[in-house]
Amino acid sequence: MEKVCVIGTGIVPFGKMPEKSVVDLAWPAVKQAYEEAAIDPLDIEAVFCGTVFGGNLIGQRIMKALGVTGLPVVNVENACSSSSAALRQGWMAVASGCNDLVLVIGVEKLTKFGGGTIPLDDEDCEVSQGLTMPALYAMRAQRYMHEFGLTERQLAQVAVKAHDHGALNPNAQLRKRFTLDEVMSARMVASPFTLVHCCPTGDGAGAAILASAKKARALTSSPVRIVASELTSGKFMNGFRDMTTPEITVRGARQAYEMAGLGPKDIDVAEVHDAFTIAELLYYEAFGFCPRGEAFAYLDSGATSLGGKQPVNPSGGLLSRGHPVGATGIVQAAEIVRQLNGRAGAHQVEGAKIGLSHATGGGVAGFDHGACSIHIFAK
Amino acid sequence: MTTLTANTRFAAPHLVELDGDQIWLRGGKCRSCGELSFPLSSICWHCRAEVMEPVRLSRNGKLYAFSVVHAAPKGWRVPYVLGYVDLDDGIRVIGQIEGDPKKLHPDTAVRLDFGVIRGDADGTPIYSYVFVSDQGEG
Repeated sequence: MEKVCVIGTGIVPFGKMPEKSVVDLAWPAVKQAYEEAAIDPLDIEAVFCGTVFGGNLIGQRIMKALGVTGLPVVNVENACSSSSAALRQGWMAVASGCNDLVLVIGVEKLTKFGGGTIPLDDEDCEVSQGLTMPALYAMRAQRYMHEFGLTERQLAQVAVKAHDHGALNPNAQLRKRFTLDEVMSARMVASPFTLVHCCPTGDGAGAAILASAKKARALTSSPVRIVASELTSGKFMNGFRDMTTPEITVRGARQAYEMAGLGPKDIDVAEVHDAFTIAELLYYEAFGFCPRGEAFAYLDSGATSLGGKQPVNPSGGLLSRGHPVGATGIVQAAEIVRQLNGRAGAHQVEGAKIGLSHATGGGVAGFDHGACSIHIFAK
Repeated sequence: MTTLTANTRFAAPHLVELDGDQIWLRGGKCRSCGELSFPLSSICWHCRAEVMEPVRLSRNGKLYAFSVVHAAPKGWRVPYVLGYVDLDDGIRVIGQIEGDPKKLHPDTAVRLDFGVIRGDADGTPIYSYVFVSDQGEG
């Protein structure tokens, strides 16, 4: 298998941009990525584009805006993992030797729904009874609190940490710090979550240029290697499931570590799928950053804050950076690549050499999540 | 008490079976391996045989977790209580929980009933199965 590198990244600031079309959200991120890679966009051999609600042939429409057409384009829908799944498709294209230079895009425009919780498929038996994504995570939170003694005040601290980080990130949607009291007294969405426990909905896009190691060496002195590219889907469970541990991520993490030949202690920085406060804590445990039941103690120790030994979501994560669902995975990856290149700015993790990105999501009855994709990067 | 009639509208009619004024959850049981399914599936999720027969699931269970939902799409009457219920026969079902959420906690015993879970665009009540707790009723 060919080694695969990331040689260019593009991130447009997330936010509410109802006046922009999906294409106009995305093309500046793509341009940024190929300019950063210092390549001629006409040299791109294939495009993999992730979106959930962006409509059909979105990759073709974005490339048309850039004047780059007639090449293979694949559009990928995998709920919140759409562009991380597209990244894996791009990785496969290069790792297989099929392509030397590919583009991965993620884009979403959630303001077209006018706000509120994202629409779910009402043919799903759980959605038909009133399930919303906040409610699903809220029930995980309640059960975790019941079993491990986590308090609402402790859970709120996750949001405080996320926004402390996001306030430093010019690409974040919510660049504002919150006090513990502000988190706890905000409007209730689904108990125990107030609004500040939930990621904001918004619009955004990201992109990355992948190259074979040989090609990357010729083009740049600072390639970042992809040392694991993992994708899995939920394992159906007909009956009782322990919702205090995310089965799909536990399994995916094990596969990703095995592929990279690395373990949890090797990870210097991570961008994980903190769509709601409880998720960040569940993922500390799922990735083995700390033992089961000890996630809050790990956060409270400062380990996962900027300046700590293993910063998680230095960009602010989904909670602060925002979560235009189809854009999230590729922007997480772009964040990690910039961290490893020492170009993250005010939210830089000093000396980071190995980083991880993780996007998971999609509600399907009987699954923990529908999809999960994990990437590990090394400098 | 509300009476079920032929005109009563259900959120997902295929999930339930009506018998006079009683509502049942309509599951499936595999004639080959005995595995239960909810909803009734065509193919057994366990052994993949195609001999699923409809069965009525247990009416009793306990709450695994719940949330009081304050933000939901149009038509839903917020706040409502949504919970995962572990039925006595080993199936976990999501449903709305009637009663005072202050009196509910994980592991509270609940039983099956029916009730209004939302309204449609013109406000017509839409019914479904729900769970009630004896603690929650006082």
